[in-house]
Amino acid sequence: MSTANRLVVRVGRTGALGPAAVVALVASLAACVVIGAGDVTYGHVATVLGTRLGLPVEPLPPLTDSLIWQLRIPRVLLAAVVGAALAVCGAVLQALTRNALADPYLLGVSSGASTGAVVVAVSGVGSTIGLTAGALAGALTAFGLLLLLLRRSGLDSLRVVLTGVVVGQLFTALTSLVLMASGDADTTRSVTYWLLGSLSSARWDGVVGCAVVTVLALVVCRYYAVSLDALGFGADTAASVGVDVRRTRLVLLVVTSLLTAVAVSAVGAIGFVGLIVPHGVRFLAGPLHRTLLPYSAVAGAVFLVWADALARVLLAPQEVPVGVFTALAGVPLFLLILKRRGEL
Amino acid sequence: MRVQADRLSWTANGKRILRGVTIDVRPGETLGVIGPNGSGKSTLLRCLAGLRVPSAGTVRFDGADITRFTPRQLARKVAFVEQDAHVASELRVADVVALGRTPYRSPWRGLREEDHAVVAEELARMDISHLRDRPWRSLSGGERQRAHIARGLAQRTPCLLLDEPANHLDIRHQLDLLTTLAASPATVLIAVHDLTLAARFCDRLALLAGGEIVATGTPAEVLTPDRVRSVFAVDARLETDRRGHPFVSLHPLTDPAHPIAGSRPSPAPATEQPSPVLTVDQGELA
Repeated sequence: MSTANRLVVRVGRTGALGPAAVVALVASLAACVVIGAGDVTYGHVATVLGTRLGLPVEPLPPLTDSLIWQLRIPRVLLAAVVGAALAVCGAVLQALTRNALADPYLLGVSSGASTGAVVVAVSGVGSTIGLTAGALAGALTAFGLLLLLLRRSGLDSLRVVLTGVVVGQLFTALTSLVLMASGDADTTRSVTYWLLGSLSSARWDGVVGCAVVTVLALVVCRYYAVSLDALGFGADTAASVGVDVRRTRLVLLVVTSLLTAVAVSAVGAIGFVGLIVPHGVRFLAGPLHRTLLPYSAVAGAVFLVWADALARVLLAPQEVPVGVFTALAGVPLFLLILKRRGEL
Repeated sequence: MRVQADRLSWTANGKRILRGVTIDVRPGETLGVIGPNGSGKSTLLRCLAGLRVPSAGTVRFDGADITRFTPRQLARKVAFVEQDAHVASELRVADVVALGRTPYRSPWRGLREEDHAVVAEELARMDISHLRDRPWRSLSGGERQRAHIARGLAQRTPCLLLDEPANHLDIRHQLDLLTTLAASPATVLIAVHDLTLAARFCDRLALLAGGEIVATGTPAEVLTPDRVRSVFAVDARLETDRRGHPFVSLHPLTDPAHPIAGSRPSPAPATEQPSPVLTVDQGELA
């Protein structure tokens, strides 16, 4: 194939990918609102949306209406927002640490966020902002500890992942300790379920806050797309093409901690999304962050929306924590990456 | 652009890598930085590129202290090509060269038409146009080196700093590269091990040893047999080939009084037996 041909194919592929991504996202959102307990049809969903838009439609019975509007729609939207946040987090961390295995869950940052959120939860400050702030403090602490431990050792993949596991274990232990110390059986049970990662508690107020923070964070990450490309070649090369390396690292570490904190405080620690999605997207859309980041956001949203739908129906009426599915998909991929890099 | 370093020092972990280095490179000049391993060549280039903050001393471009520039402004004045950047990037070669356009790009916009033109031109100059769509990790060492240099050239800066740019290159591409650099209107500083390349293509040389400048001047002024012997511990002679180009003939030291050579049994006495010398030139093919 000639260079020109290949270029046409590439442009054509990317040109078609944009609309395809949007269609996939909208279709997934619609399909997954319908999937689950209760006989919900596309017609019902259209009616509910129509009622809210003030259109002259026959309203549904209140029970069905609130199932769709109060539970299902916020849940699907929250899955989309959290999926996008975690996927972009993974893509940014992989570039920042020059490590294909970086992911907020594997680096222990999610565990740190969990600890922070749990500390706030047991102390009785139940507000969303309080939980998020606690999670952010925990995520930043875990990140700080990780960087401290890695200080002189470079960013060799296995060492980063092993250190991340250690940091994660430490914070998991701290979380258990805090839970035991609080001594309340009900809190312990609900927090333990939340820690596994579940979207069942999604409500509108949580969704809106989460979405606003995530969109702003995505814009910041997209601003640094070219810097992330350059950082793939090391700090010196990046600095010599004009990247402010220290500022870029600092801003992006805070932003990825914030994204992790928002995701964890909303739905608990859902692992492997940040690992699976960017690798899939690189395969389809190439490694440049200018395209990688937006497509990762959309693909992460689609991925988690479907994983959550599966979690609702697979063992219905029992609900499986969605983190279980993402781990089932993520672990084989993790092993595949290790194997391909010759480290297993 | 005039590049000046004034009494530069750099210390790492209590060890002084550079001490009081002062150089003054005239606009358009090609300066070769030579010296044995660990003499501070790479550190000097990194300080000049603004990548390391010297513990003492200043670097000035056309009289302006470089600490006053933002990273972006600096990247429009000086391009730095490090040696042996081992990375497993998945970027295509053209994307890597396009990184050189970063200091001219808006973070929101893609590459402009003129950026693409610059990238194509530098790919051609480094003879890697045919590799433009290949992923970086599939390249050989020499091809990566040329792509890195193309990235530096794509910055279109009035100063180029290159650390061992001829590393991994085959002989033809070594000569092509040095010819290109010497002819460039930019002020060029190259760290280089090959004394023949240094003597042949550099206007002046700066000889570093133990983090200090031992000598600066034309190749003939710097590469005196005594100095090369004391700094590099080899016997060297700057000669002229039949076409009038300088080359350096090298021999191991045979002087038993020398601290390195003297520890070994002395080889056959170095009388004036002629050693074979191969002079390489690119002209005959053209």
